[in-house]
Formats: sequence, C-alpha cells, structure tokens
Amino acid sequence: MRRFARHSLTRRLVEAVLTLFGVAVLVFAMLRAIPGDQITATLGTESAALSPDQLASLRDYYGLDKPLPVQFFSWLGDIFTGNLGYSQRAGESVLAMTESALPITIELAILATIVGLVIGVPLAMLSASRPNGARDGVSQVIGLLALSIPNFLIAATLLTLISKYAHYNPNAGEFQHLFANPGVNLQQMMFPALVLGFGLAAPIMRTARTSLLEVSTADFMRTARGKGVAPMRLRVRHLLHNALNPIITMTGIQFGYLLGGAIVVEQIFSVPGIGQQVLVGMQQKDYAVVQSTVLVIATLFVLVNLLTDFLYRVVDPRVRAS
Amino acid sequence: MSDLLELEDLRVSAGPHEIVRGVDLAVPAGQTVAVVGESGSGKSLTMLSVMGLLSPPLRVSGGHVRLAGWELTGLHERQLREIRGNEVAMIYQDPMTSLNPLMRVGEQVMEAMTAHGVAKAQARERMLDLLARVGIPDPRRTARAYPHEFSGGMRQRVMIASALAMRPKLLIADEPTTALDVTIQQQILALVDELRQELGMTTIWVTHDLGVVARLVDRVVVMYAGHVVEDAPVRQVFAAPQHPYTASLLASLPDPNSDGRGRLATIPGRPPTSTQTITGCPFRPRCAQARDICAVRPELLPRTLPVSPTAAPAAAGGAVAEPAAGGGAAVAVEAATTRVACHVPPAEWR
Repeated sequence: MRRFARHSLTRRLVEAVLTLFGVAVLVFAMLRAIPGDQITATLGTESAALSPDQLASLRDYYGLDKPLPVQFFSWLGDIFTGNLGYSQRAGESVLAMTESALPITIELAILATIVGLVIGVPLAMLSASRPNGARDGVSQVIGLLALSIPNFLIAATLLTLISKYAHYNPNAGEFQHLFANPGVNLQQMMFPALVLGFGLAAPIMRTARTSLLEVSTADFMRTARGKGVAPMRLRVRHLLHNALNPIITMTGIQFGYLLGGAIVVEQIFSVPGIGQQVLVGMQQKDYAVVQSTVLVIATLFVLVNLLTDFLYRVVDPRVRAS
Repeated sequence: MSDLLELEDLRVSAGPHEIVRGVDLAVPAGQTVAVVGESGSGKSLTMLSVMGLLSPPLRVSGGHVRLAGWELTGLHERQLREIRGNEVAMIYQDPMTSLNPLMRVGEQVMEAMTAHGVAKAQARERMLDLLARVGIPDPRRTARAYPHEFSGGMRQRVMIASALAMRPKLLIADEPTTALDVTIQQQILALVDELRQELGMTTIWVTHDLGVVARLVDRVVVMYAGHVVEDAPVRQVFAAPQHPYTASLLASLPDPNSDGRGRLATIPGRPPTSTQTITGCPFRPRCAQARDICAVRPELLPRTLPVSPTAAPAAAGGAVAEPAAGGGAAVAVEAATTRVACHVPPAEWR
C-alpha cells in the first residue's frame, strides 16, 4: 500500500514537471508567433528607421539572432539558476518584480477564497436543506446573479458607491504591504476580496448544493437520523463532511485561477499584483516578464492541484488507503 | 398483555400513490415477529414510518403509530429524535452503505449514546463493551478503524452495537443479512437473537425470506401490496397457511431434502404497482383460488383454527424442520387466533 502511494506521488510529480514544460513551450512559442519583438516594442515606429547594421547589432544584443530552440533553452536554463530574466521597461529583474507582486496576489486570493467559502457553503446548506423550497429559490437566484454579473461591474459600482456616498476609498492612496502596514493593507484588500469572493461564492455554492443533496439521501444519513443524532451534528459531521470533496475540487480550481491574478479587479482597485505585472508585460512586449511570470503562475497552479490532492487524503480515509 | 407497538390503519404514500394501504398490527411486549413479503410489499416502509424515517416524497398519509401507548404520528421532529435510537432502534439492510465512511466506527457507536445525553467518557466505555459483546476483536484498536477497513459482517456487527447502545425496547431488523455472505448470515442472525433474549427486546424481523427467520420468531405477518394478508403464530403459518399468498410463498421455499432436480415453485404474474387502484383482495389477479367474493375488499378476519399438537411445519422444508437446533424456536404462543384477509378457507381451495 505504501509502495503504491509513493509510486503515485512520483507519478504526480512527473506529470507536474511535464505540464510545466508544456506551458513553457507554449508561452515561448506564442510570444514569438505574434508580430513584433522587443526591438519594435521598445522603439515603436522608430524601429523602421534603423539601419540593417544597427538592427543586427540590437538583435545580437537581445539574443534574437540565435535559433529559437537555443533561445528557449537558454531561458529555461536561466530559470533553474533562479534568474527569471530582466525587464527592459521596468529596469528591474523579473525575480524582484515577482517577489513584490506575488505575495499581494496570494493574499488577495486567500482572502477572496475565504469570502467565497463563507458565503457559498452556508448558502448551499440552506439551499439543500429543503430543495425547491423558498430558501432554495432565494439562494439559487443569488448564485445565478453572482455568476452572471461580471466582476468588473460589481467592482466599479462598489468603488463608485463607497467613494461617492461614504467618502471612503482606501485604494486611492499608495498601496501598503501587509507586513508594513496591516491596517491600511486590509482596508485596501477588503473590497477587491469581497468582489472576487462574491464571484467565487457562486460556483462553490452550486457545487456544494449538488454534493450536499446527493449525500443527504445516503443510507448512513438515515442511520444517523435513526440514532437520534441532533440536527446540527447531522448537518456538519455527517452531511457536510461527506460532501467536502467536490467543494475542495471547485475551491482549488478557483483558487488556482485567482493566483493567475485577477487582472481587471487588480486594475480597478490599483492592487499591484501579479495580474498587473503580466498585463503590463504584454502591453510592452516585455518577453522576459511575460514568459517567466506565466511560468511562475503555472507552477503555483500545479502546486495548488497537488495541495488539493493532499486535502482529499485528509478528508477521506479511503483515499489515504488506496 | 399490553401492546408495545400498535399500528392502526397505517398508510404511507408517495405523492398521490398509496404504497402501504392500511396496515393493522399490534405487537405485545416481548414478542418476536417476522414481517414477510416480496420487495415492494411495503414492509420496510411500514417499519421506517415507525421510526419516523420516511424521506420525501414518502410520508405517512393516514393512520396511527403508537409506541407503549404514545402516539408517534404527528409528533414533532425533536420529540421523535428522543425516541429514535433510544426506545426504538433499527438495523438496516446494507451495512456497506449504512455506516458513515468518514467516521471511525467507535465514534459511530458512541454517537448513538451521546445523542441521548450519555456523557462522553461513559459512552466510550460502553462502546468498547458493546463492540466486544457483538464479537469485534480487540475493540480498543478496532474502534479507531474506518468502515472500509471492515468486512460486511463486521460492519453489520458495528450496526448492531450502535442499535443496541441505548437498550431499546423495540428492535427492528430490516433484512439485516440480505447483503451478507451466506456463511455470515447465520452468525448475524444468531447474534441478534442472543442479544434479543439478553436484553428482553421486542423484535421485528423484516424479511423476504421466511425460511431465514422462521425459527427465531413467535409470529408471522405476511404483507402483500401494502396490505397485511395473514397474521398468525409461526407454527400455524407453516402448518396451515390461511391465505393463498402465504401458501404460495411457502411452496416457493427450496426443500433441502429434495434431490435438487425438481423446479422451485414460482408465483405467476407480478404484484400490483403503487399506481394501481386495488379493490378486493390484492392477490386476486395471481390467485388460483380466486372467487367472485374476492373482488370485495376482504378485511382481516379472525379465524380460529383447531391446532393439532402434531401440526409439524412439514410444508416449510428444512429451514424449520429442525427447530431444536435454533434454540430460539421455543414458541410460547398458544393456539392463537389467526387473522387473515381471505374469504376462502383452505378446505375449499381447489
């Protein structure tokens, strides 16, 4: 049994490495496939005025004259040494940029996920406690609204309302880091986290509702009721516990997406997260920034997936055994 | 003798369709009863309504359930909860799905006690005793196991332990051996019967296989299509069934003394579905003895029988041919009255 577990862990790790390699190839190829390069991006229309000699020397400087596979592996090799490249525009190493942007995004993702779970799971429990009843109807409508209203609309509306009527906009000032200034930081994170969390609550609620309804008809639920178990314990210890796995899956996927940066919401609330970093990198055709940041995001995504697998084991002893 | 359980014209419906169509049953304290019928006869639903465990769309649509004189129908969920697991407990059909897969078995047994106000430490101690009593080896260690680490028989033992934790007055065993290996079946039956005697519990066995419980019970209630068609002491049922359906059931039991070449008797046709309206005897369409009078709904009629002391259950085949082996077959019921829903006495059967 233990040997099998180790085997499956190895397999998952190999899969993860292959996935990341695929992502690296893809993002590298895509950046090269679209017209323009660092030179045109830096100089704009003026690049047309470059003499062939100047162009050649610039291409040599950026390493653009080398064959693509050589460029690819030199980038990949650098990454293993911790060198994510250098941003021409920011005049800063991508590693330094990521080190400052990533914790902000992770913090936002965690806060948003907490909001999503706190809204989504209780709503689902209410909804599933009497399917097709009034509570179910209300919860379902809220869920549908949260799914169908785009988050930038909620974000912009919220920002307008609070700043216009409450004269309160913590995001107007300079961004403060969590450990530097927790009070201000949490105020700045509150609204983007609420907006993202609200959007997250909808899929969590729907998944949880389906899962709870399925478990509620299980034989062991009848056994527990037959023992005279109190309703609260019945709902949490028997029902919710058994319904957790699909909820974990859905939350894991959503959390993974959030790590990719909530580009629009970060933009609206001026949160300098990883989403903004990629966005700016793309606008400026900053190869190193886009390539390396995307690879960092993909790595996190894969890690979150591994973590999800680990959580299944914590929840379900049967998964531990197999 | 006071009746512990009393069902009066009990009806269970799913939406507009009635599935249990007026069951009358009185079980005196201390008696062991078998409720027999094919799947779909309403026997399990009748027992689930005693526990108040029907889940929508099923509901009790009429009649009364009384336990020790207390009316259970219409009782608030909170009051029902005090009775469940405490006064009445149930062992279910499938031990593979009836235990919570994510909870240690010890906790599942303890839960039956803590739900009724037993302190945790005391519940833990009693849980270990109970596990040992139902034959689970090394309770201290196994209490920490999860259901998937147990075989079907072991799981059913855990179910039994949690059902008996509060020493209920009434135990309902709903086909507790159907899902088990044949070799395990006898062990589980014997265990439940032993505990029944030890705790002096009134017990209702729900089964589709009369042969399995024949030697454990005092009395047999035969259900068909949501009706009770015959209700009689076990010896009489085997010796002289008064309803043609009971007779057909008995005839379809395999006879271990035969050479195995003959075909088993079957009952032609199919029971009516819950969507069908039944007038008269529900068994009439499949009954070889049916007369015109059967089209009028027969009530359960008392029919006193002359019981000869030699009325050995010959018709039953080997399952009851050796009652001595079971020990539990010391039937203390005298030649009681049979109640039957058939107007045609066996003497007039063709």
